[in-house]
Amino acid sequence: MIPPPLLLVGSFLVMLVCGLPIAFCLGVSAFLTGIATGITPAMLVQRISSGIQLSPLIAIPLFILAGAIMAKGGVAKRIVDLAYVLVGPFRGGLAMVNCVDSMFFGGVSGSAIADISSTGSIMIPMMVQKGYDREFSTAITVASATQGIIIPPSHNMVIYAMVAGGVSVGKLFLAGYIPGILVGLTLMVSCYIVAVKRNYPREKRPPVKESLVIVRDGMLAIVAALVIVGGIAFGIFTVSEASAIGVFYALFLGLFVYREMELREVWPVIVDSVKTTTSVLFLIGCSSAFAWMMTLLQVPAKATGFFLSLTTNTSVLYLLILTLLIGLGLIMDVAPLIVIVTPVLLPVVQATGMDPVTFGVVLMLALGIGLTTPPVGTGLFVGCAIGKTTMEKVSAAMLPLWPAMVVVLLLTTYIPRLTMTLPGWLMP
Amino acid sequence: MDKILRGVGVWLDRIDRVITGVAGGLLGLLTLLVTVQVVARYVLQTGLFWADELTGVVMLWAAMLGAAGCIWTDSHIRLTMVVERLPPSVRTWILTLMDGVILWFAAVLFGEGANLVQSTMGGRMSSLDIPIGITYVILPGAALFMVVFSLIAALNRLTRHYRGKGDQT
Repeated sequence: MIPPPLLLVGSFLVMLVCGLPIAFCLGVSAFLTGIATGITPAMLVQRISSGIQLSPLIAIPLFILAGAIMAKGGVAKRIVDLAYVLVGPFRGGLAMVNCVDSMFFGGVSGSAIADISSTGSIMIPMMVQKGYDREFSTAITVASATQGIIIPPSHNMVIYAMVAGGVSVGKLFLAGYIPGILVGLTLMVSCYIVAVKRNYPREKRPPVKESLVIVRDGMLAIVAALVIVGGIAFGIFTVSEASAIGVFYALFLGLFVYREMELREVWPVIVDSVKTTTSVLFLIGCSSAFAWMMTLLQVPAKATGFFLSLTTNTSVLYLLILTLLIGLGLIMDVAPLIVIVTPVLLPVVQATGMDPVTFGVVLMLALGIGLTTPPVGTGLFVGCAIGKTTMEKVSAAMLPLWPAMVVVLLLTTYIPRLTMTLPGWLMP
Repeated sequence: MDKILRGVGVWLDRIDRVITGVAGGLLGLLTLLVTVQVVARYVLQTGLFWADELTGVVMLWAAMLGAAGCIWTDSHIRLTMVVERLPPSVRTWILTLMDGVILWFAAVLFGEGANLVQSTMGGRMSSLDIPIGITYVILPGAALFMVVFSLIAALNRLTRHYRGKGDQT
């Protein structure tokens, strides 16, 4: 007889490797373990459905939808223009534009993939035309887009908050600002070094009058992000309400302000986002059955005991956990990893005194790096498709960019102030 | 056999488009419902409990319908890097087995979902005057689509593999 915790984790891993969709791996392994331990599938089915019906989860499809509408409605172009005015004149200006653009776009849409596909299709051809090499242009697009899951609003943070249970989404959002902006800044430093070495050009800033118009148009989009995050942080509306407001604001910008979208184009955008959003909701539902089973079998407690037995040195333990997260990020996607890893690792880091809010941001940073790495980096896949190049070449071009991201990850892990200052100040 | 499968495939494509469309409509409705609640709270100074209840129902319906459609279009997130490296016939059999696993999951979901509907049909929601069971009707409903989608996907996979062998060029 296999011990139930081993059955749960083991059957999950076997099915995962066999290519079963991750949501089903979670659901089926919970069912199997339930049968072995005398827990009826009826209870697990109820877990799945109640896991989907949590009201803050509404924010996930709606944030994704808002991002898709913004990408379609001309927001991406306005933000690229804004970044161009701000940092274009530096050496390697377009590479920096790419970083700053993702910083703002991340604040607006919250999806790294939406950022790569919408701003990448503008930035990469522009950079190539100005003499940047194609691989580097693609690499910086992909790397900087990871700011999208760190800078709020971020639907991945909502997933984390739900899975972690009792973590304030408002605090998480605020905590993401400083590390997210740091990622942008360190990437810009890397870009500058590369640009000097390869003699990449500076760009001319448009005339003052034109620049002012560009800044105004760009700010219209960025203000939305601040309203959404501020509204949540100050308790004016809930996360799900904020996401609905985000959808309407995105529609308003695209249809009436920028006028790059027509009403009949809205429906296809909604249908396009259905597959992504519903598969994530179903994944969360199944993971709540799996997590419930794990708790019942005391897997998190055992994992905590195991990790703490490895070393008594907290710094070393954190390094182990970061390595584990980056390693998992190499082979799996962000959303499934959040739902699988959080129930196991959160108790471990909490036992060492790390705040769940800090861990949320660390998790986003580490999994963000995973988006940019082969063999399974969704961001990298999309980037290569948009940049019309191969994964091998882009991975090589990533080499100067990864260290920048890892530095921010380490800083965020070891200096809690980076994450806790803003929430502590605005949401005491 | 091939012809029948192809015909069924065309129909399932249509069904997938319909249920994805319905799920999309529900997402739109969700946006409206949530917005109405904000407006009600700040303008009318009152919470709308019916909207809150309906939101929960709509959400489960949208998620389950969408998730069923994702089986047909292979849109669920999964790990492919290991199976992709296996020899074609091993891969075909493993993936077919996994279709079988989905089928089993869907069958359990169907049975338990139907039980859940039966046991909750008697009660009524507190502010919407409809049976609680309506919420859960989508569990067996979507499970039915999952059963059909995974079954046909498995048959397609097998026939494609064994027919493909003959005329590989």
